[in-house]
Amino acid sequence: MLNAPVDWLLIAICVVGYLFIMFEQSVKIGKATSALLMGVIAWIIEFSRTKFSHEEKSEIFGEHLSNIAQIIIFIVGVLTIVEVINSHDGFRFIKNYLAEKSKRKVLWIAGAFAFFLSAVLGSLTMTIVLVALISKIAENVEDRWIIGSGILLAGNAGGAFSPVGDITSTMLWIGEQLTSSRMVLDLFVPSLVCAVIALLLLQWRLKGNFPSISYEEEKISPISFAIFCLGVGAILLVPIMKGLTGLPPFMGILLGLSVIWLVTDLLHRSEEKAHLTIPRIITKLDLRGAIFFLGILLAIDALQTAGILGRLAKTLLALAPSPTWISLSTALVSAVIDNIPLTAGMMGMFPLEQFPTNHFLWQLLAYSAGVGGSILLIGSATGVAFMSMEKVPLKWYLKNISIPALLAFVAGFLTYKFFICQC
Amino acid sequence: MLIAAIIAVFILGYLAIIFEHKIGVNKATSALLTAGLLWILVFQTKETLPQQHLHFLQEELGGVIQIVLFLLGALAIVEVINAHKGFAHVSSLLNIKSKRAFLWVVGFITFFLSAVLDNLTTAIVMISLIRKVVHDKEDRWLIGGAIVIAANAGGAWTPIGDVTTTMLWIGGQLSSGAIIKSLFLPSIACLVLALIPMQFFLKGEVPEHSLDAKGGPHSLLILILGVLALVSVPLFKYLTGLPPFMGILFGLGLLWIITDLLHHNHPERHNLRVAEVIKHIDIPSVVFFLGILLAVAALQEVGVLKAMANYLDRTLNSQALIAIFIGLLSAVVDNVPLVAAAMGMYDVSAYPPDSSFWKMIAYAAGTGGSILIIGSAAGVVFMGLEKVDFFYYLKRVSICAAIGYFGGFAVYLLQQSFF
Repeated sequence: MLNAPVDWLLIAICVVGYLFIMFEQSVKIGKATSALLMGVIAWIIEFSRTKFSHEEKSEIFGEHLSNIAQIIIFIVGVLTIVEVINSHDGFRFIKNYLAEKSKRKVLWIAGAFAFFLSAVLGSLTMTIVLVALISKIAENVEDRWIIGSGILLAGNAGGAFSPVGDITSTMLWIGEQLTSSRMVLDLFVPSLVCAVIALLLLQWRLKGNFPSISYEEEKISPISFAIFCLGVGAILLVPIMKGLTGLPPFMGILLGLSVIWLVTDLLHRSEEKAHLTIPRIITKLDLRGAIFFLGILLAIDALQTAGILGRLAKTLLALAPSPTWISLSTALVSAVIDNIPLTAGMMGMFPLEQFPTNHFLWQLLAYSAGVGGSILLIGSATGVAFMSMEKVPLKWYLKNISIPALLAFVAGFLTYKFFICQC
Repeated sequence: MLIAAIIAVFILGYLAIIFEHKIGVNKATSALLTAGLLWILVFQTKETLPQQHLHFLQEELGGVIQIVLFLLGALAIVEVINAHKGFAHVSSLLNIKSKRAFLWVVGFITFFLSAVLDNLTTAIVMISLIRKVVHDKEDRWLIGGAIVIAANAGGAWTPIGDVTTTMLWIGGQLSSGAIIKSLFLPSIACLVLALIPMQFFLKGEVPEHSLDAKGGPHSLLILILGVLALVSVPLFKYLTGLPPFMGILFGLGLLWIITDLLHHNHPERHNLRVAEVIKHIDIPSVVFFLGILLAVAALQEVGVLKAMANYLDRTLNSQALIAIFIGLLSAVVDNVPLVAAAMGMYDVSAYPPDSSFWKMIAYAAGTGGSILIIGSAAGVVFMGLEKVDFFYYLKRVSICAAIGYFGGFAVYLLQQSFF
């Protein structure tokens, strides 16, 4: 079917681009750069076909761009809010709850925070925050790694059931493949089962107590806690606003951000507190993530416009016995390749007419892409962050964590299959 | 009722932006908050299901985000050049001692650049350039004001130079020959007449120290590549049919790879790499711009601007007066919806293609926006990038811009009566 040379050229560009992204370290070019160029070149190739008139081109392009922009603005908005909370020491109160002697208790408490906070503030940021807190508590490297892995597994599971918990879930929500209420209702229990099983399997590897260090209860300033609540409230309001007024998520998050901005501007009028205002905090954001995302989505959209993804979907559907298998296999694939292009590709492959909103294919995809990445350390952005923070060796993770992660994933999946949806 | 609330929110937001320094709230905050509230209200006016609301906003967002991405890309490229101290070469090339001469040179470069590129792009490029070249704040603000006037005037006389002129051209109200022939003289008169009074605010010479400064490693190469990336945007658009922001991103991507390859063996040049440089981009000004664009889009969506144009039509009965008023009105709100409304109101059968009325509209909507800093996209970007106070512009630049605006209009009328 792929007879036009343009199609092959397009595929070649995307494959080469993806190889550059995967081997970022050895080619010495940042993955954001490769992704950006890949996206732009893919569209240059796509538009080099003569079949489009000038007006058609801008129409096709405008539609894709508007969808991409909504997700990017939303994610940058959430990241900014989290950074505001962090700058105000808004997460420090968690440390007081972690001041337990028993190692197992610390694991469970950290896991619970990871699970629930990830659902609101995103799994990536919460893992970073919690792992940083744990590293101050646990002296022993092995303990730190295991508790960190618990945070990682619980955080990825917590991100999977919430529309704002994970980039892939957000993509499916903004793309209208899933609605927020059904997502939470149907995926909460499987995700919870997954997290609990993972923590159960991990706790046997922890024994005894931490050497008694006198934990001094840290004083939490009311402002820090207020900013924490304000931030969490702003993010939680987004799905609620969407349901009530139809305000799209990116507008909701911008509105929330502007309220926080207003509050912090009024709170920190003096010069010595200027570092806590949003214009200063915003400079700490890593824009490369957003650029990477833009490039990936542009490239996937070019593939979709060319009809290549549609043909791939037909082949896959013909090969797989049921759509369940497709979703399940994404979990395993997402352990190896980045789950953002994977999800974007699936969204481009299967049209909403064939698989309507809240179809089990999408629900399973949200679960699999979110949780499946935990099976390997490099399978999720969260894992990569954990690896670089704590210098966790890939081999150690493969030997100690991968099997519990896989079992937990299967347990959550079986829960979904037998109790939520007979598929 | 809802419409009244929408207008009230917009005016309040507008005031909060103007009085930014008095109330101590960043104008980006006000713009964003205004946009969010406006769109909630807009959604209440729709009778469709909430799920379908998204559609209204989506149409607007596609256009808005292209401008924002373009702005981000252009800012990033300029920051890369700056990190390499590439602008040292520009300063030494220009090497103009007198500030007044500098003003004229910058004004004319902007004027002609804006004839090829759109106003906004030109303003972004030129303002980012002078930011790095002119060090005195007051001087920079004044020259920036001249850039806004020149960019708007330069856009008015070519079919591709300005969004509103392009609209009239694509809509068939004007042909490209007619636009250039009858609007070139008025546009250039508008610029010259504005610059003459403006130059008296500038005195003396550009201080020496701003002209020396040695370039960093590979600074000349990066300068050439960066400026090429900015200027070849129209060519990219022509060749590929992709929107301008894709051209900017393509240029940025190439520049990124080149700098990564140039510097990866030199750990001490870490700060020159794009990943590091993009941290210096002024995000709040981009957010401000996003907020303003979304807010104006909301007004447009409920038809407030169209109603305003209708009202004008009923109360004024001279073509020239209507055009002048549309120009003045475009100093307060965006000129795109105004021109769109005018195009909808006056039929091509009543005013045939290339009739004087359309030319006047093109001139007025293009240049009238310079009178207030908030009246044109070029001005808004200037305000965001340079933190220019609304009242500073009102005091120093507005009068000059108004002189230019009316002078150019007079030139147009004279020219019509002679030929």
